[in-house]
Amino acid sequence: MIVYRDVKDRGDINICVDEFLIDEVNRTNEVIWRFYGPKPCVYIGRFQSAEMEVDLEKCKSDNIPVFRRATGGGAVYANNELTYTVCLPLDNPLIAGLSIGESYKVIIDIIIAGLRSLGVNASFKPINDILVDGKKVSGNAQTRKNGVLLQHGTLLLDVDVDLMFSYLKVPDEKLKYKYVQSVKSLVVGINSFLDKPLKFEEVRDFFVDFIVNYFKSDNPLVLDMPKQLKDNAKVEYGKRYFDNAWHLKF
Amino acid sequence: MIQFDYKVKNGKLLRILADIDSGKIISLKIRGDFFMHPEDFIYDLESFLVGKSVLDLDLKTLDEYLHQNKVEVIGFSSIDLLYCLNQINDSL
Repeated sequence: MIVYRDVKDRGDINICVDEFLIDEVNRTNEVIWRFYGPKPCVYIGRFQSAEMEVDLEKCKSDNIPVFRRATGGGAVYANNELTYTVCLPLDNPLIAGLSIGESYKVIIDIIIAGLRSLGVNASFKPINDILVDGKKVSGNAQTRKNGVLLQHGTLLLDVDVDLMFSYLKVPDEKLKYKYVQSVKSLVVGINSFLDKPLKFEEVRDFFVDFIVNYFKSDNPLVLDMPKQLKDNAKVEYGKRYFDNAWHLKF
Repeated sequence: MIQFDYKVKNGKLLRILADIDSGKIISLKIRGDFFMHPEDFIYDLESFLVGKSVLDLDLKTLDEYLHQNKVEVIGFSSIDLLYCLNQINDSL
C-alpha cells in the first residue's frame, strides 16, 4: 500500500492523476491512497449538464474553471477542502464481492472513522454522502475500470455558502425534496465542528497518519506525490482533461 | 427540447431533456447527479430509447436492456426514467 501526500493543484490535473492511478494499480496490484486538494474550481459530475448546474458566466468572470469528473455524482465548488482518492484492485479483500453500494459504505466508513478520531461526529448517508448535524460535509464518487475501483471524495473544511451557491445552481426540485428553504442549510465545513480550525495541510497530514495506522498490518509506504507521476498523468490523460470539449460537453 | 427534473426518493436528481412527437422519442438527453457503470453506456441508453414510443416502453424492456448489458445504475431506476418520459409526453 502506498499513501501519497499531495498538494493543492489544478482540478484538471487532479482528475488526470486520479485516472492515471487506476492504470498504476492495474499495473502493480498495489493499493493507493492519495490526499490532496484543489485550487478553486467547480467540479461537476460525469453526467451533469454544465449549463444546468453552473453559472458559467459568473465562473468565467471570477476566473473559476469548471471541470467534469470521470465519475458521476454532483457539482461542488471546491475551494478549501481536502480530497481523498483510494484506488484498489476489485479483488482486494476490503471490497471483493461487494456491490457498488456496499463498497461505497466500506470506504466511506473509513473516512468517517478518521473524522470521528479528529473529533467530528460524522455519519454515512446513503448513497454517497457524509453528514454532520444533518448537513453534508463530504460527497463521494466511484468508478471502476480494468479491474480497479477508484473512489474519491471531498472533505469540506470551510464553506462560504454564499460564494458556493453563486457558482452552483440548485434546482427547485432538489430543494423541494430536501424540505429546506435555503441552500445554506445543505452544506457545512468540518472546521465548524472543531474547537480550533485546521488548515488544509493539517487535515491532510492527519488523514495520512490515520490511514497508515488503520492499515498498519499492510505496512503502508508514505510518499510525497512524485512529480514524475504527475507528469506522466498529464501526458497520458491531458488530451482529454485539459480540453473544454470534455468539461463542457453536456 | 422539454426538460423534466425529478428527484428520486432516496436517490439522485434526474434531469431529462427530450423531444417527443406523437409519443415517439425524437431526441433525448439523460442528465443528473446519478452514477452509471460503465459510464459511457449513457450514450447507448439514450440511443436505445430514441425512436421508441413512450407509451410502448415498459419496465421489463428497459430493465432487461440494462441487465443484458451488465449496466449498474445508482440513483434512479427504470421506473423513474419512464415516469420522466411520460411526464414530458403528457405535458405536450
